[in-house]
Amino acid sequence: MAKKATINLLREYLRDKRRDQAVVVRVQLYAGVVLAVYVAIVVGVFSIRAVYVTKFNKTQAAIASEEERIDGLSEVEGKYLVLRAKLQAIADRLATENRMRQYLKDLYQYIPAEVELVSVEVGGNASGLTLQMKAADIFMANKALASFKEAVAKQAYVRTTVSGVSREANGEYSLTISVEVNSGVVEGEE
Amino acid sequence: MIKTKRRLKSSETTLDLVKRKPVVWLFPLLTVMVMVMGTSMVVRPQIAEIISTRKKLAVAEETLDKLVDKRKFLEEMANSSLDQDLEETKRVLPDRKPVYTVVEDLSQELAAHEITLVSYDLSPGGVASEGAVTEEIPRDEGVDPDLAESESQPQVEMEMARLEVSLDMVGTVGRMVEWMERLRTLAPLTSVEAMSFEVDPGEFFGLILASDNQFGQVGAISLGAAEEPAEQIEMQTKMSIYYMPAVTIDQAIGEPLPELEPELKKVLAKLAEYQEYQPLTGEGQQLLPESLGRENVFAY
Repeated sequence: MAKKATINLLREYLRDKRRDQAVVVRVQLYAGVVLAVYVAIVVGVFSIRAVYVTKFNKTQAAIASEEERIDGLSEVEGKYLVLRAKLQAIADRLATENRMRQYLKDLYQYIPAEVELVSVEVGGNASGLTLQMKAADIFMANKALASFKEAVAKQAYVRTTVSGVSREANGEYSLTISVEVNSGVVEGEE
Repeated sequence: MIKTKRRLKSSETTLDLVKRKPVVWLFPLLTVMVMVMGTSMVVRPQIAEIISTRKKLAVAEETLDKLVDKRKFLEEMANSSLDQDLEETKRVLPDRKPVYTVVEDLSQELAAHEITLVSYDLSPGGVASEGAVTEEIPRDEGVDPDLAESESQPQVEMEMARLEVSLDMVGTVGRMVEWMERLRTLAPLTSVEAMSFEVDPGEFFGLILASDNQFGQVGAISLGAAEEPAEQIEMQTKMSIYYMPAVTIDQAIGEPLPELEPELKKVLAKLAEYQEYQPLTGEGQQLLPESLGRENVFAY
């Protein structure tokens, strides 16, 4: 009986030991798997970084190469920029000239037939026009001024100034009218 | 039920085991520690580096695209009529002050239009000197892609200058109108700043303003009675003859070149209509400084 009990005890001990070993193995296995997955993620992160760095370095090399090629074409670039600047300057000049011509054209129609336009001057930086007119008498001069008043009312000029009225020896009246048109827009034009 | 009991039993056994053998958890604890430390010390910095490199790469790729576009554009320009276009443009808007053109050719030009030049007055301005020359600024090398966004636009700093000339002329209204129209297609680029008459110029202004031409195209002007050999009138004009001197190039290599806008293409196409002053022939030609081996003192 004692022998049988000893054998049973031994069996139970061995069974418990095997079970313990299985648990130990299982825990270590789980931890190992988790560690392996983590290491794989780390390796993946490093790989992604390596891919980006390689791609960036290649792009930098391509940029350097393109810059070198563009530098070789610097003469063409300089010529093109000069061409562009000159064309822009010409375009601006012509546009200003056409604009001032249009302003003069618009103003001209307000000059009464009896009044003579004898001088036209474009202001500095095309900021305005100065017109000098001659009228046979004070009534004609007044008619011209009234006509210009109408022009001011109809057109969006910045400022219109009668900068001079004088009577000459022969009895003629000389009128000088300055029209500031730089930021004005003529109705129905442009 | 049997399975649940077994699991509970097994769980109890595992806890018992842990109590009996704490060393079982050494490896899992070590794994957790490695993960925590690795994440904070390796993975996070690496991810930050990836994000940073990705941003840099996006900027670099954008810069590269711009550079490729610019290079292709320049190669296209090199194979186009750029030189011819530039020469044509310089003919209308020269680099240098066209003093001798005015001095030598103006009276000839006016004579061709049957206008008598009574007098002229011009102020040529500064004499050429080394100090007056603006040298080209070399472009910056090795542009950092990080700075590509802050680069300035490529630009040519050029300023249009003008040579002012005052003329006192005598001619018929018809001829004067013709001359004024001629000025609109004359190279170098010329504009009239002022016109004045001692006496009534008759239909002059009406005729001048009658044409609706744009960009120097001479419109159809009906001279009518003014074309007849009428009374001679005297006109004082103040003209500006334009030029564009010293060029300063300040171009960023990484920025694309803007293409010519339709407006500028239109101007370029119209430049062919601009004619130069009537050239002097015979003995008069010898007055030009270059033909005499003299230096153009205003050439800068």
